[in-house]
Amino acid sequence: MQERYDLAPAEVNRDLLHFPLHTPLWFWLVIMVLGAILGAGVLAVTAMIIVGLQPLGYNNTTYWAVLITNFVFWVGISHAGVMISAILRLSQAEWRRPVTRAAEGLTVFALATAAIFPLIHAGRQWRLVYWFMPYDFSRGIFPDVRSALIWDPSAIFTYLTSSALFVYVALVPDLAVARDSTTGWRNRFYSLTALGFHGSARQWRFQAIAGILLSALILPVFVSVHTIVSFDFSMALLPGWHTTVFGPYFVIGAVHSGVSAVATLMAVLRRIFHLERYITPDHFDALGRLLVVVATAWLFFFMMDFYFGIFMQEATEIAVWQLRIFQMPYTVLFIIFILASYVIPVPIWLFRKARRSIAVMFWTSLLVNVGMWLERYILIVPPLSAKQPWTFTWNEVYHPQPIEWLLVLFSFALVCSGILLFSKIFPIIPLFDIKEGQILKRTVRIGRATVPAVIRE
Amino acid sequence: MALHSGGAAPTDVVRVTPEYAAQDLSSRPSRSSGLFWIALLILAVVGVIGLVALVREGAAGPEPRARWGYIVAIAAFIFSTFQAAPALAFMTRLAKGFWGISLRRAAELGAVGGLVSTPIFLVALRQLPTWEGRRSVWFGWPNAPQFYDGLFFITLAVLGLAILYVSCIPDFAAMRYLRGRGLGRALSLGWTGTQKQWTVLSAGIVVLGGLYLMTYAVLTVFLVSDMAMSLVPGWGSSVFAPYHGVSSLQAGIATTLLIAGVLRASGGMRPYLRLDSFWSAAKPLLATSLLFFYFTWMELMIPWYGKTPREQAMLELMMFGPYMWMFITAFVCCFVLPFLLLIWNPIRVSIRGPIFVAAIIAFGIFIDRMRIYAASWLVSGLPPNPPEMEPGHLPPVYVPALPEILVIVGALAAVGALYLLATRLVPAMSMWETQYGLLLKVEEPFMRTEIAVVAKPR
Repeated sequence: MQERYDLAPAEVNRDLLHFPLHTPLWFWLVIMVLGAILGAGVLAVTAMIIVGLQPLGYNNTTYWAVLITNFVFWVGISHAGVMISAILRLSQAEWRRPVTRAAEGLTVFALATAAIFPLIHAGRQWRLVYWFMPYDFSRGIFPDVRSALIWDPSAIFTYLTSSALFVYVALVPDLAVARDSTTGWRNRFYSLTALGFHGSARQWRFQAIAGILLSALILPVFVSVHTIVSFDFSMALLPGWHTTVFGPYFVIGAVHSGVSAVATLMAVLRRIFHLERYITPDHFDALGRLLVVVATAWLFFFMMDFYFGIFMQEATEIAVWQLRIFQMPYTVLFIIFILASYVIPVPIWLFRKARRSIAVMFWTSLLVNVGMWLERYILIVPPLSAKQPWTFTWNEVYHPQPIEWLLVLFSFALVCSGILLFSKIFPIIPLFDIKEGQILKRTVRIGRATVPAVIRE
Repeated sequence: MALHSGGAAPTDVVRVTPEYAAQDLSSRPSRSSGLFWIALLILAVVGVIGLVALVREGAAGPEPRARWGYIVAIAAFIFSTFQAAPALAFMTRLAKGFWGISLRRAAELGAVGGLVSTPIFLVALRQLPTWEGRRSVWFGWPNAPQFYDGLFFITLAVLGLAILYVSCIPDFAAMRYLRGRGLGRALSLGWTGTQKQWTVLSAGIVVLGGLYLMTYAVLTVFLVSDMAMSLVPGWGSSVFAPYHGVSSLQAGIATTLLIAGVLRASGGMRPYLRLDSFWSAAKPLLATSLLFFYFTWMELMIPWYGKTPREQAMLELMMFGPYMWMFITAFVCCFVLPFLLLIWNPIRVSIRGPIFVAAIIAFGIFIDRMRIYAASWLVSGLPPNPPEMEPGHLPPVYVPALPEILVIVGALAAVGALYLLATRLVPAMSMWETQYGLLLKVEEPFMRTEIAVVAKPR
């Protein structure tokens, strides 16, 4: 890190607890706008519970579309937290410090949002009761545990639980600071959640060990979640879906979109909370360099999917790729997807000046997620739309309906309001991590230059 | 006995300074013991025998093709170990990994493996059967895949040597200055260490490293698709190339650690190769071992669940049929044992522990490559969807005969001989990076202990 500010502990407390303890007017305005979108979304879902899934544009073959795209997209975004927090913590990357909390929060809210969409998509939600109370095996109502669709909820809820625990363990010392800085109901709330943390050596040791252990334990969960989501597709024998690379391809794609989402979020948080001294251009530089590597790895896996789709020389598989690349409307979507996910942002990120520009990083990382949403759409819809040998399955091209676009908007509003409320209650940048970084930072003189340095184990 | 001798044997006690490193490392290529020359001679003789055996095999023609499986496998093993090692050097530079400084030159010297694997691959490419009934992405392009694959193999070998050379230029200049060696004068290209020269050197290393990594990735795809998967009727697993690549990265780290272990034990590099290098390298070794499991699981899980006849046939051939014991051995050596050993702090945070695990992994990758290519070439002459590929009807394992064994042993010996020769030309430890690292790391008192402070320049 090249740009470092000297921050006294009291200053860190004051800056980072400002928003949780004071409510500006814009907060209520934003909450109202987001609330209106959420209300519309809830109405739409309620209507579909009453009338069924007819308002969606599904047909006989294209029965997984925008809602499942949303599901895969948000599960992907949820990979940001663990990637940034656990991996960078284990690898002792100093630049992680102001980024981890927001990334972890994004994980939890994105995952919770993702979990809603299969429920909306499946319809007849009351039948969910059979998942918990299998009253009659012989009638085949109880879900088949050999199906990848059943592994999914287990993976999602394991990840959600462990991510929430991960966030909470890292929050405890900050909750104690918030407790000591507040009075009244806030004090009671933070006292309850701080679990009596008062910063003894023993408590710090347990907190550090728990953080490291959870970091190591959550990594397999992190990889398994999107792998199991990929199984929803790759376990089916459908051309375009049945391919062995889907697991790692989904995981690296999730990391690509997740880290990009963190870059977008950090730019927004820096602006609205005036965190210029905590989130510096150096952090965007580091995120940009990480994104170059992640995006290139993602492109490699995408190319593997394409290469071996062609390699097998099977007519049905090639037909799916032709549909994805050469037939409207997918051609346009495919071009936008490739441009937005890799061709435009990555060459820009190769320049240090661009990586250090917050505006450039905001727009390029946002662009990546437009591309990654389209990637999931192109991955899911064309294989279902491709004409199969049986003519009775031939349908008109699937077009998303307005209600599906509303639900896309609803998902974004849900995640945004979750993050906003989270940052209203808890400090969005970890206080103790920033203070630790201040203690560990040093400078080393090499010749006439003073180089930033850090204490290493 | 040290392979490089002369002067007082340095130990961990030696406090290495930039001046000491320059004097000590620049003198190393000219200090070689009798044991070094004996080892070099033996390896060279065995290497020449292997070369003769390869020429003889090439002259004998492609049939029976099963015997080429082992020859391709040893080239793929060198490709996965020595030629993967420079990628580690590039990655540690890219990530500004301080711990990698002392391992980088040892890793880059692995590029000499390309001088052995490339000729073997070029000969083996000529033994491929016709395209009729085989799957590929070449769609009948003229001279494919021999010309294109061959071009990539040569490009990779040249790029590897180019990285090695470019990263050695400041060392050649230092040797010219300190020792006045003629070779250093010729190879240093007039390097004087101006700001511009350093900028060009840094950019050159990054660009060449990036090109090397990309070429390596593309070549891995071509290698597995043209020289393994297209030979097996019905095999089209898209995760196999990434599996091969990740296991190569694992083997590249393992090879670097093994070489570093030898350099520390017998090469007099004890003051430079310290605990933090081995400990830190053990972490990516553990991570890649977990990835080995993950990719193997993907390779197994989807076809097993799919249960189409071609998938069942592929699983039977590669995992559960005649090559099952090779599959299990590779899995145990590349995942089970490294995982069980490296999760323990006393093993990971040591010098011998990571070296021991690296040896296990290198053996596992050797067996794995034998499994992949021997099994693929075993069925390479079969027509599409043959009855021989049905479960329970696979042809028996082809056991390598003396000429194939000579090629295998000779190829490994040749790489060893070239590596030893290369250390006569350049120090096995990068002088300029070692000096740079010494400037970046200082130790200072902190409460009642001493801590390391590492500078992070831009």
